[in-house]
Amino acid sequence: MKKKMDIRLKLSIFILSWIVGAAIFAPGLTFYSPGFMDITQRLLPASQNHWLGTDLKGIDVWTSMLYGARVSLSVGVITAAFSTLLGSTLGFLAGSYRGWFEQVLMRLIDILMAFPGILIILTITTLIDPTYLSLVVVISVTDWIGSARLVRAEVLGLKEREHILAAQALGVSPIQLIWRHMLPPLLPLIFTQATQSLSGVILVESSLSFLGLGPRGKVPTWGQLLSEGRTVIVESPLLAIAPGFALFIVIFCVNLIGDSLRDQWDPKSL
Amino acid sequence: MNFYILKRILYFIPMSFLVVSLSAAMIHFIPGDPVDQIAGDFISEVEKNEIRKKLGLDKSLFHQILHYCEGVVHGDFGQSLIMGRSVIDLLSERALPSLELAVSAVFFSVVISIPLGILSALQSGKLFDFLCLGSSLIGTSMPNFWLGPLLVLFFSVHLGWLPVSGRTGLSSIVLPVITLSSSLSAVLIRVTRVNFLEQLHADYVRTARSKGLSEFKVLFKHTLKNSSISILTILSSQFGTLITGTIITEKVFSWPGLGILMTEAIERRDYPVVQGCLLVFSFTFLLNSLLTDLLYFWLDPRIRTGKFS
Repeated sequence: MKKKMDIRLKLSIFILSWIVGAAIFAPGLTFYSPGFMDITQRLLPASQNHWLGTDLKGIDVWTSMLYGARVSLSVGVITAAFSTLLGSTLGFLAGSYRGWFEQVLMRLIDILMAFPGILIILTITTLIDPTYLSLVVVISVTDWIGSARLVRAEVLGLKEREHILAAQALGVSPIQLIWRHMLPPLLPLIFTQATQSLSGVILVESSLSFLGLGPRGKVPTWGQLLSEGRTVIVESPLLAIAPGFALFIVIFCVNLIGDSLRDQWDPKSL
Repeated sequence: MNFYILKRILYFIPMSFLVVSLSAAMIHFIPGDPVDQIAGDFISEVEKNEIRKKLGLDKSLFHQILHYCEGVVHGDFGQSLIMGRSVIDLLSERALPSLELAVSAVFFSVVISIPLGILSALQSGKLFDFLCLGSSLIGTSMPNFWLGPLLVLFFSVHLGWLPVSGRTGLSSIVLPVITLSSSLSAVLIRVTRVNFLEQLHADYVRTARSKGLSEFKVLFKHTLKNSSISILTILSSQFGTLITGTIITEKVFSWPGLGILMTEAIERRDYPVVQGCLLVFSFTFLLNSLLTDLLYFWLDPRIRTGKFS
């Protein structure tokens, strides 16, 4: 049942593309280079020269926000894509071929799920100094579970469906079977799962950054900006409000996309 | 004693052993020499050996795990490397504030969101429903490390009604509880609403109504009872989020709980304390799933009579 693209979807894609655009064209949208500081211009309020004021070190907040978007969004997208792909593949293999592979995978998932995800992530960040790359890997360690479980369960059901059985009986090659008959019904689910994963990952990354355990790069992430801004929230509230608002809007839009896709693709949900 | 309960309780034992072992082994996964990481370069070899002995790093991994398990059973979690106190002291001192915060947040969200969810289902498609769903979507998207500072800015700085941070009397817990419960409430509202929407058209509800039961009784006695399993499932599945939220909320409000203890220990590389916190959090997590399963048993007659596996 194909419905018209709903307003939630349109609106969130519209807003998100503006934010992604701003991140991509960051150098064209600001007069300052990232990290440029002028110590004499600390904690200025918003003005024509500094759209969102300046922070503790005299860095233009608007510039930090633009470049921070690059980090926060790319870490989120890469991690979510990686872990969804990994999880779906593992789940697909487990569901299709069963046997020892499924057993091992499910036990591994049981063990990982016996711990709260954030603790696994916190522990690993205790052991290794976080970089952008390690952050992607660390968050993926727990994040693939969702899609693996979902895809496995779905494949188990799918295998018994008539069109798959018919295709098998007709002697369709395994690659064709997967490509033409199994993937199309799975893709909407995987995509919805990916949006859920994306908002989760962005939240985890910014939480870690907020706790002071985020990646230590030249360009601060939104979470780090917020954490820094919080210390001077009384003097210049904008420093904490701006990055938090950006995070909120991104997560909100991604959630809205997920909701709207689920409503369109899953006839069961209300 | 039912087989289901027995199986569930027996499962708890190897899992808790696994939790303790992994916490004990954690220190081994540090790349390089953990002692160098802890002590830095300006320390003599003798002192380094002392730290090594203190952490039990001079023995094999197997011995360390065994030693750590033995300690845990006797209530000995080792000594903090920095604060000069035993880890168990620190943990027991910090556990109560965290528990206070988490329990009040769960209580608050249950009390707020279940009635809201029910009302939203009854008003389905109307303005109230729309508002509830909207605020629930906002609640799930609002990072609590942003909501917290915003609340502080408005209620403490601007209005001056509530304290900015710390744990000083009843008024200081208000903002942390709102911050922590926001995402949980948002999820609970949605689940309660969807569940009630499904149940309101069920046969037993029509029967209950047709035999003249008051609407209140239909909703709170019959429908709520039948929705309780899904609500419990969601509450339990949100436990991890609750732990994350507690750690962050404590940081936002300088609430002296386990979360602050842990993040500070991570920053200072105080490994025994990190291990202790890890253990406590993971253990409550395990306990949560055990309790949930036992509650299922109590709530769902199908599980109780073993007719549903």
